[in-house]
Amino acid sequence: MMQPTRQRWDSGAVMPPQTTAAARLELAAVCRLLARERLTPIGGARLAARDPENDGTYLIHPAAPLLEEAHASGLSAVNRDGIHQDTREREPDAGALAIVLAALEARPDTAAAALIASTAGCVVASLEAGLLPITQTAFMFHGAIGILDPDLDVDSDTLRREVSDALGDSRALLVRGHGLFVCGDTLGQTWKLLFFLDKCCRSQITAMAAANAAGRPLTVPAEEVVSHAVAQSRGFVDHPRYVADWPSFLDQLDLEDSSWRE
Amino acid sequence: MTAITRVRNNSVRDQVTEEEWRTRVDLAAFYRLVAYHQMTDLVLGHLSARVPGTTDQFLLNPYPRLFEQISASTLVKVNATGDVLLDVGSNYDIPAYTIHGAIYEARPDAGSAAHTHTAAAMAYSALPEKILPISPKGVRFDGALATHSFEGIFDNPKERARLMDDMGDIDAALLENHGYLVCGATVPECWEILYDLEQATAAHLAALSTGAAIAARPRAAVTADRVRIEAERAATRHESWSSQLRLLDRLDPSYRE
Repeated sequence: MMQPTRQRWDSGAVMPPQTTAAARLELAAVCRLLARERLTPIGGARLAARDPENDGTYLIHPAAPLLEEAHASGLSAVNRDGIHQDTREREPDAGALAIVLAALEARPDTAAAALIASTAGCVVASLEAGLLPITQTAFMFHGAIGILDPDLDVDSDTLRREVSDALGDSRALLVRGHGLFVCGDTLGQTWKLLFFLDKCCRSQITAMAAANAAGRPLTVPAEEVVSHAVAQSRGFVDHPRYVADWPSFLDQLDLEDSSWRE
Repeated sequence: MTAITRVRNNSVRDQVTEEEWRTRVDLAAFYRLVAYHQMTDLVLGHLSARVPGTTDQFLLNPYPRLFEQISASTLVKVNATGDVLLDVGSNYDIPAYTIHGAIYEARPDAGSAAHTHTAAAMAYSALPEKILPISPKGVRFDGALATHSFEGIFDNPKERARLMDDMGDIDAALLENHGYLVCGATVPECWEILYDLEQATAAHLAALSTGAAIAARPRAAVTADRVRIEAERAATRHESWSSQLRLLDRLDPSYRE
């Protein structure tokens, strides 16, 4: 496996998990945070983290249990084709897991990936215009979000190539018919990208509905302001400070219900 | 550089005046209320209060803690030049200092300020319409919502002057493509303005989304409503705040710590 090429972690900054146990804990935390924010319908999220101790192994939250039940030892280890390491059975998959695993294969610099079928995500992914540059939050993704219209009947090598081509070196995709995809250098970054991408989609569809119904244009900043804000946002997302709050999220989960650690 | 007073044994309460401690409890309650009403944006957004008896000192959130985790003794005290005046073991977020510092410098009447980006506020921030006076909350902002154009992430000190010029003596501002900035004489008043603005936004967006014509009301009626609503709010503010603190006390009194 290729080693991560981005060496930008400050001393003491939040790092990608270095052990299988840490990856299990942090992925369980992302699942619980998704549940806490009620970002997806039941069965509407697929998440996977790279196992840092075993090349080609990915930790997943299985399809059936609710995200509210996610806990470290309840996660499963699968290979890139979704075959469970212990039972050798294939994980049930409506397509989302295949996309997530394909992305992790294509992007060895990332620690985790997720695809969520949030309402707002599915709506924006369905729009020909895609994600609009109308909120500060959207500038985190503007110009750095691909569009994937996956054909899940293709063989896995072809799917991996399609996902890789759509993703390029970005961290997010609008996936037609499926919702929002992100991949992050850390579990904390994956969580925050998911939350913020869904949030700017929520704002966008509310703004579009109101503007279109009222027959008024949306307020879009001038091109040079958009370029400036996009450059600022990119630096923000890439900065270690972006995930400095990760311990705060874990603290909050512990305060409310620490069973995710089990 | 102003000397930092180091806090030992977490004794913030012993290190500050009784007035500052009361303001800290109120501001911590403000953070908890914003969380309770689901108006947060993870750790982003910020609420502040001027330290009583000072002109250039204010309290900010310990970054990057969630609003649900903020309590009176964890708030960070800074001055106009960004020095931390009391070490509570945390630092502040630089954009928070930039925005709130601008308010306290330009608005001597402001005792508290708040900046949020809820999904509704962000949606409204991309629309050109004035907020509709169709609800008691919306009436309150009729002709009383300033607008500031988007210039990028707020890290340019020169934007502070433009922001305050746009805000003038109005207590609430729409930051285009971004969110809201409000201020009030006290923490309870600032919370009330922020909450009312959020509620006004929800009604405004829902009304526009019907696509139907909005019935116009006579100007005089809207203005008279606004006067009555503001008088009622002023008369009930103190008791309402006490009631909201009792709610927080029932839910989780740790904001007082």
